[in-house]
Order: sequence, then C-alpha cells, then structure tokens
Amino acid sequence: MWRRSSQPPRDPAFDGEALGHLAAIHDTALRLCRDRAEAQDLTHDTYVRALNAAERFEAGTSLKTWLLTILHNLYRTRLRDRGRHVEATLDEESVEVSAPQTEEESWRAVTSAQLDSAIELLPQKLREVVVLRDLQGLSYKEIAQVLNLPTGTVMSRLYRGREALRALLMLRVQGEGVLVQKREVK
Amino acid sequence: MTVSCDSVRSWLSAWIDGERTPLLPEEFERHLAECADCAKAERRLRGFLRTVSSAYVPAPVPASLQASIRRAAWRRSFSQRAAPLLAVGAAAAAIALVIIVTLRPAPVQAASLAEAAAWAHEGLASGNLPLDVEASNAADLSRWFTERVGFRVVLPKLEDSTLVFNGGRLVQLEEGTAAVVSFQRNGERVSLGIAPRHVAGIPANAPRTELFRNMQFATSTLRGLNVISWSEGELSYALVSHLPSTGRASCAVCHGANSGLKSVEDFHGTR
Repeated sequence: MWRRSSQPPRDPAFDGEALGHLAAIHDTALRLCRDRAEAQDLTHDTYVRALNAAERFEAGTSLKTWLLTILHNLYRTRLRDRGRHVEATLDEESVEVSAPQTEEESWRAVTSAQLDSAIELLPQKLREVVVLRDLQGLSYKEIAQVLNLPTGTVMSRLYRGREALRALLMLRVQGEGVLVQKREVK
Repeated sequence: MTVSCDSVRSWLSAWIDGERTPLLPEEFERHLAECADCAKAERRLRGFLRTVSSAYVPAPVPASLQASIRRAAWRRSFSQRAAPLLAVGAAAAAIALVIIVTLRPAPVQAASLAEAAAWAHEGLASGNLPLDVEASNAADLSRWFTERVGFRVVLPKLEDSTLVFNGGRLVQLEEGTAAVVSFQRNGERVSLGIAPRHVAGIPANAPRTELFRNMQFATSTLRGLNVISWSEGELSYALVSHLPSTGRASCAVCHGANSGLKSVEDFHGTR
C-alpha cells in the first residue's frame, strides 16, 4: 500500500530566499577556503545540503544564518577528512601585527583589494568572526550559533580580529611592509 | 557615578554593534561625553567599521555556480512536487496490473471450445470483457458472426419470451475462431460458444457424457461454471452458465418453453 511521505512540503518561497543569499554564502566560502574552485564546490554542496534538509529549517529564524552554519560545518568536515590542520593549528593568539598608530582619516580610502588581502591574512578563528560580523552582518548570537561557540568567545575573537585587521589595513594604506607573523601552536 | 574607562572599552565594540552589554546606553553616552580618550576610541572604531563596510565588495558569483545551484533547486522542487503524483501513478499502475492479472479471464487462446466459452462467459459477466457486437435477435447475431468467422454460425432454437439477447464476442481457439453468443434466460446470464467441430477440442478435465437422441452431451465444470457441450452437424456447441448442467433443468438452459421442442419432462421421459 502506498503511504504518503511524512516529510512536510517545502515552502515554495524557500528556494528563492535561499538563492537570494548566494552571493553572501559564496563570498564567505571564498574567504574561508581562499581558493576559488574549492569555494564554488563548498557553496554548491552547502545549497544541496540545505535544499535536501529544507524541512528542518525553522520558519521565523534567519535563513542566512542557517546557510552559513551549514557552510561552516561542511568546511570543517572537509578539513578533517582531508587531514588538513594548517588553519586549525593557527591559534587566534598567534598573529602579531605591528602597525603605526595613525589617525583614522589616513586609512579611510581603503580599497576592496586591500581589505580582501588584509582579511586573508587573519588567522582563521579571527577571520571567521570578522567576516560573519563585519561583512555579513550577523549578530553575536548568530555567530555563536554558526561557529558553535559561546557568545563571550565570539566577542573576544571579534575584538582581536578587528584590532588585527585595523593594523593590517593601516599598513597597506601607508604602503609599509606587513609585519605579520604566524606561528603554529603545539 | 560614572563607569570606568576599562569597562567602557571592554564593551565598546558590542555597544556599537548594537548588542546588549552590562552597561546601559546612557552610561556609555555619559562616559564618552566626559572622557576624550574613550570618545576617540569610539570614533576610531566607528571609522574603521565604516571603512570595512564601504570597502567590502562581495566576490562575484560565477554563472556556472548559479546555474548548477538553480538546477539543484529545480530538481529538488520538481521531485517534491512530482513525488505524490508519481506515487499515485505507480499505485494506479500496480492496481491496474493486479486487476488485469487477476480479473482478466486467463487464456487468450483456449484449448477447447468449452474452455473458451467459460473464459468468455466469465469475462462478459464481470464486465472485463466487452461484447464485440450487441444484438437483440438470433438472426442478426448469426449473420454478424458468419461474416467474420469463416463458417456458417447456426444458433439453436433459443428464442422465446424468457430469453433476452445481449450480443456476441469472437474468441480465439488454438486452431480457429469461436463465436460466443451471450443471452439471459430468466435473468440468468448464459453464454453459448459455437465453433467448427474439428477445432472445438475436448475440455482438459474429464467431462461426464450423456447420450440423448443419438447426440452425445458432455457436462463439465470449468472456472466454477457449468458447461454443457455437444456437437451437431459440422458445429460444436458449449453452453455455459451457473444453472445446473444435469437433470431436467439443464435442458431449460437452452430451450425455452416455446422453443418448439418438447418440454423438458418429455426429454427426460424419452431418455
């Protein structure tokens, strides 16, 4: 005897709304992977996963946050499966940036290329929160959900990430060498 | 009482981001109005955030990625919409198959006229087998069949007030074609198969035979139906119904009271 599936039908607006976040998801993937092909692959997998699990999305919550959570989970799974721990071994405390103290007016004319390259230099744990907050506009609570972290950790990482990014941007604006050192954490 | 610079600096970022902090908004405002260093830190942070916001340009999404995701969404959406329809279709097909297999009379080519007539009777009675022709009298039926089966179809004297013709159907035998006449006698559906004697064959199960006026009548049960078979001249006949195939009532299956033949009591009396 045929039985109707217990899976509820997907909201017809879901696909359109999800696709509306494609640019944000792809951009975040690119900043996570720092590789165009891998970012496209990760974005595609994120959407396939989301579309297949659409019935689990809670109406009334942020779809963008939900998509970003899937993205980050997939990214971490990939890193683990590939045995890549380069980023994972870089602690957020490991970045040391020396930048001259200047008035904010001197680095207001930051280009997008300068911003991209500065963000790219941030350690992953700081980069994640900076991207989610300052580029994607997520609240601290949403970032905590995406990264599965306490809100306090999000706040401290964001503070350090912003300080590091500000210093990196200043160096670019002033045309000085970037004094960034990364060290692996045992 | 004013809050400390350390406390303001600790929560400045969260306050600017619009997050809840242990400090009240008016405490921030009051402190920043009084503390030049903290006010400068606030301006610097707000300026930095504006810089980041204005310099941020999302990476363009490759057209191929957009297309592949749209395809995935469409496939998902289509399969979800179509799944119930496909399931219903599959269920309907399965039901139809079951009906065809279980209800359709089994042999398309019968080994004998008796079996063919029983098969046709079952199909006609259940409605699974349509009539090839509808006719209300023996002459029309005889003519219609004769034009199609390659032999002259001669019907016994059937007509009387208790008989109503339904029509007829052609049935394929292994070595020829049979005509099956459908009628009702006193409301009981009866089928009469007619075929050339040489293609009529013999029913698989052993029939009981009776000799009456130099004619041999064979009675058998096929498909739960009573079948009386006999041959006369070049033709063989098989009469199928739920009516008894033995005793005096068996004759009444075919012959009505006004058939011109003697009454059934007389038949039995002369046996």
